[in-house]
Amino acid sequence: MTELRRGVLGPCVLALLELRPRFGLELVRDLADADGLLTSDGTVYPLLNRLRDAGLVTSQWRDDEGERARRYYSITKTGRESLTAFRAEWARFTATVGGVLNHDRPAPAVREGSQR
Amino acid sequence: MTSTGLDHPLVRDYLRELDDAFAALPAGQASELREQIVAHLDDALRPGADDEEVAGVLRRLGPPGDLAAEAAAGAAPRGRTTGGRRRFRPHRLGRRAGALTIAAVAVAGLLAGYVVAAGTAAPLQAAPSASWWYARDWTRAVETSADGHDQTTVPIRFGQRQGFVITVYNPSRWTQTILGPGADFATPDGPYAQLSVGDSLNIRRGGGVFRPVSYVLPGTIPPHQIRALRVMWTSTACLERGSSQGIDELRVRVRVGWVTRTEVIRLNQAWYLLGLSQGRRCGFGPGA
Repeated sequence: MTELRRGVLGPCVLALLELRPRFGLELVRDLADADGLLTSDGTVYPLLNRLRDAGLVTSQWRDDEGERARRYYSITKTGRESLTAFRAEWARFTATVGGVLNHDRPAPAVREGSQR
Repeated sequence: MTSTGLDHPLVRDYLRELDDAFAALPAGQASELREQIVAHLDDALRPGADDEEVAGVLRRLGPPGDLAAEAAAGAAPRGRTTGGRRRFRPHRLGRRAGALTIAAVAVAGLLAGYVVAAGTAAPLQAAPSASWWYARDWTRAVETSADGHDQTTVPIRFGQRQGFVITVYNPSRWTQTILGPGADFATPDGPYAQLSVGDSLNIRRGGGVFRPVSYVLPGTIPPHQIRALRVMWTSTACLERGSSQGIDELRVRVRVGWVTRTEVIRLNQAWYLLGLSQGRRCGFGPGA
């Protein structure tokens, strides 16, 4: 499950940023509200940097009067496209896994001689 | 002087462990991640937080070693993707070797020319306008000059955010993109800072503060144009009363074309922090 969580955390971050830009702690708290999604708060930051390097997220400093300067993260156009593609893939994936787990459909037959 | 959650001994210990854990990461990556963690703690901890509260925040943040491992894992080369193995077919190699070699040499020549041209592009230079970022600093800055060297000095505001903004000129015909701190990057407070580039230039008259512009990283500076470069940090340097520390250059990682290199921007004046604390415990000694 840990690997599964790691895999979906990026799209979840993109989904939150799709609604509005957020600064680090704000993002961490929103993710932590989704029970079980975040194993530790700190892992969000390496992930954000990877998303930024991939062009899916951008960051911008805001220095509002009376507030400390904060780095706000926003989703990019490429990030939105990636999220849309992931949503479609995820829907198919969960339907497939759900079908197998709940015996809604026959498990695929093992073909002899098939190669990995 | 206001105390912040960053003053707490548990936080100081954690940040020291973080520095140790990040030692194996590339400097720019470590610097950025450290800045993010410090900002997280700064936001998460209220001033005067008790031990239990601080310990809880640090526990949720995760062990420094885990953060370093997570960052390193993301930076590691990716394994082979799906699609299977390619077969080695020597007969095909023989038939096409001549044409491929000629094409490869031609492409390599073009690429080498491009890389050399980009690599030799004139580096970024400091332009004249510059200022401490916060009014609390630039109104108290002391400007001095000796032996042709200018210096601006402000009192350290321990545990609070400080920084400055300079203007940077791109003298080359290449667009240069500042990616982040370079190796041996330093600020008046130490090696960690938030570095960002203004997406346009708007200099307010009088105060010398560069607003309103959006500051981003990576930040692009088109050929022959000037942009603001902001350097900010949370002051945690332990300065004895009357002592000071500062910098007169910035080392930044810059992408020029396909080339990424570290450029050294010589500053028009040195930027210094002055220790004013009276008996403040810095957290490093046995009495801390």
